[in-house]
Amino acid sequence: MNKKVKKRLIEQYGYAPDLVFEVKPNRRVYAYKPCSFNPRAYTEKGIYFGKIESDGIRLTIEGAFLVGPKAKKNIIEVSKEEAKLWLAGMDLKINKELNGWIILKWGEYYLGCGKAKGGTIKNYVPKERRINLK
Amino acid sequence: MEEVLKINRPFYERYSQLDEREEFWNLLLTPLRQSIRINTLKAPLDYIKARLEERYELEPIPWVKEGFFINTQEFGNMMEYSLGLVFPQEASSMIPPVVLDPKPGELVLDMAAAPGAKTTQLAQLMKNDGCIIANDMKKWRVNVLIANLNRFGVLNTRVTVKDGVYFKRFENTFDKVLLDAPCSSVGMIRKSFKFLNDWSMRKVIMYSNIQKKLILAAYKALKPGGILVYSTCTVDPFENEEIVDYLLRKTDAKLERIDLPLKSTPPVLEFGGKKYSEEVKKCLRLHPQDNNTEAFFVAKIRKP
Repeated sequence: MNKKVKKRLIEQYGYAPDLVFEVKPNRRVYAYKPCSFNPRAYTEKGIYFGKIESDGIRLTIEGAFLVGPKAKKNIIEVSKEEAKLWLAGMDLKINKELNGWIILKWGEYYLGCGKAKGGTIKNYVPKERRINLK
Repeated sequence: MEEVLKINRPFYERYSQLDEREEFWNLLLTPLRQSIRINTLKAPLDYIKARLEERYELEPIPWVKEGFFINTQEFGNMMEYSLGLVFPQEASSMIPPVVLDPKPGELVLDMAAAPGAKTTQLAQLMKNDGCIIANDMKKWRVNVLIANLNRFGVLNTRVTVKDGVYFKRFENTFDKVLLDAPCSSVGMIRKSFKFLNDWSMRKVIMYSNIQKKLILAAYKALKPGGILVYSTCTVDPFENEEIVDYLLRKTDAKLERIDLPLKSTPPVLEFGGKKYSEEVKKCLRLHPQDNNTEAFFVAKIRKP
């Protein structure tokens, strides 16, 4: 599964970070670094990196920060205003012919992943991570 | 002072023996300045700082380069908070990880880790490299810890749900151990008067007994040459100097001086009919008026 995730990431974004990937039954992908110490007890490990969708891997905000800096494709830069709207949970209009899962960035801030289709990027920022626009 | 007397007389009577200065009582009841720590695991420090300074006033915290006082308590509209680029954390609570100074590649135990502010700071100092065992004994607290590790992008941590004493079986194993011990939380009164209402001598003694068990287990789990940092956010000598003195008497532990750019209050050598080793002078005792922060206590211990 680890290899499959990496292969998909390279296909989709042109880069896969050197991490251990674990896919849970709910298709969520968790990422972590290896640790040789065994605490001889149940452990929770890894951050929620993304989710395997039918047409690719949808990265979380944390996944976007890990892949984004070295991604070679399916990544777009948005303006500050667009970044705010995106983090407030809004879809974004784009004039590019993009389709599929896209990483959004503003400068060195990676804003997660959205699904581009028909000139719109559909928002996937979870409710608890959204900002209030004042 | 009258306010404290009204709410909790035994509290006032005990701690007026510890610090009679008026500013101790004034600052103990004054709301805290808001502070944050910038997350360098996700983006460069100067870059995030510059972006924040476009909208907020930042004042550097002298003892931690990623820490800043900030002129807002509104995080709901802050992009950097949403993205996990800043962690709201009290300035004095950033001290124990700085004193522990973990390095990339080391094996570190964070024995009472929830809610995770210090764990994320350890991961940051280790550049997400090496391994942290972040433990807490309460499942509901561990859920908060996991959420914070996730938001911060921490990749080098394993979370366990155990009584900290469990780790004494891993003798001479960890390069560094942080024991930010459960305590009577007098320092937290600046956050909520609940801690003043809830304070009792019975709880102080209960925590003191727990802390003694935990510090022995923490020390046992430490490698020779390794560093253990013991900290609390309380002022009670029974939970601070007494615990360190107990470890010194029971083991071959050595205390080291803590050299940070901050003011402090001399550690207590005698209190409540008990006397402590002169060595405890090397500990760091912070009262609220010293640096206008929460009260805190930090000891840096080396295993020979």
